[in-house]
Amino acid sequence: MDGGRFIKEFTKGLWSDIPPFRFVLGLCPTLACTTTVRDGFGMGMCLTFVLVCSNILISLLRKVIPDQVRIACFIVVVATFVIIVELTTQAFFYPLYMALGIFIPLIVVNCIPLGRAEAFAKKNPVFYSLADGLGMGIGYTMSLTSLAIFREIFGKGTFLYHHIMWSGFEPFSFLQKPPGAFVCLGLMLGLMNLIGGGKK
Amino acid sequence: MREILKLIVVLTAFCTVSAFSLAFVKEATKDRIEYQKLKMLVAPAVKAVFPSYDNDPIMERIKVKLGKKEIVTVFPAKRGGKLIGIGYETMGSGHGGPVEVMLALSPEGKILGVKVVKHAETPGIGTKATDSEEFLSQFKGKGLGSKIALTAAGGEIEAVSGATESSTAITEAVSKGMELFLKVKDQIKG
Repeated sequence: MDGGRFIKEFTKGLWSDIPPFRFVLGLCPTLACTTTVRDGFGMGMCLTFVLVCSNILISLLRKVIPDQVRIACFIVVVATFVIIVELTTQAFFYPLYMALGIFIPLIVVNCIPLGRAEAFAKKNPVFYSLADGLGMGIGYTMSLTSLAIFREIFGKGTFLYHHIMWSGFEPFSFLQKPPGAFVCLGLMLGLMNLIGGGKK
Repeated sequence: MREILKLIVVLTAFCTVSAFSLAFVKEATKDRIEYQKLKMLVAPAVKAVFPSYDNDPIMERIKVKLGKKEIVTVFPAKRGGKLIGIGYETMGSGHGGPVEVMLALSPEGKILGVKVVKHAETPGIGTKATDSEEFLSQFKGKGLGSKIALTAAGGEIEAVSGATESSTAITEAVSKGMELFLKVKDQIKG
C-alpha cells in the first residue's frame, strides 16, 4: 500500500479528472438537480455513497467476476446501492427525496459509477478503488454544489433558502431553467480550462 | 459448459445477495418512510382541519380495519388527553384522477373541517374547487343526518361554478367518508 498513490488517486477526481467537467459524464443530474444548493449537494452525496460502496465491492470481487458478465454484475451492485440510498433518503431526508425524485433511481444508469467500475475498480486493489471513488464522488459533489450556488444565488436570490440579495434584486429566472444550467456549465468549463490550461 | 455454469453461479449469487440485502433495508426503513410520508403530505392537512390539539396525530395514528381488506388510517386529535376529533382520508373521483380528502369529524360525527390532500385536477380550473376555502367550509357543521350532495343533486353544497367535476369529487369523498364514520368510531372506542 502506497500512501502517495492513494493521494494521487484521490485528488485526480477533485481537479484533473473532475467528472462533470472533464469527463462530461453524469450530466443529467448536473442539469436537473442544481437549482438549489441543498439539491446539488444532496445529489452529490448520494452519488458519492454509491460510488464508494460500488468501487469497494467491485474491487473486492474483481477476481470472482467473470469477464463475460462483468457489466451485468456491476449493474446489480450499483443498483443495489442506489436502492439503499433511495430508501434511506426517503426515510431520513424526505424533502430532499421529494426534490430529487426520479434522479436518485437514475444513478443506476449514470455513467460515473459504471465507468469507474469498468475503468478503475475492476483492475485495482480495494485501497486505491476507495480513494478513486471518494475523490470522484467529492469532485462531483463540488461541481454540483458550485453550479448550484451560482444558480440559486442569481436565479432565485437565495442561499440554502435564505434570501441574501438586496430587496430590489430581480432574480434571473432563466438560470433556474435547464438551458440556464447548460450556460452555467459551459461558462464553468471554460473558466476551468482557462485556469488549468485545459487538455489539448 | 463449465464456463457457462460459472457465469450462472456468479450472477445468481450476486442477485441473491442483492435481493436479501435490499429486503433487509426495505424492512428496516419501512415504518420511518411511512411516518415521513404522512408527516410531509398529511400533517399539513391535519393541522388545517382541526381547530387545536396538543398531541401528535400522525404518531398516534390508528389503523382501523373495515371489512376484510379495507384499512383506514385514523388520526386522532386530542387536547389534554381528551379526544376532540378524528380525521381520516377519503377519496372521490375527479377529472384528473382520484381526489384525496382529509375529513375531520368531532366525536359526535359533526364535520370540523375538510381539506384536499392530493389531487390531479387541472390547474386554474379544477383547483378553483380544491383550493377554495369558501367551498370547503360549506361542509363544516354538517352531521350524520345531513344530506351531503351538491345542490344540483338535491343537497346543500354549492358547487364552484366552472369546477363542477372537482366539486362533485370532493362532495363524493366527504359523503363516502361520512358513511364510514360509525364503523370507524366503533372500532376506536373498542
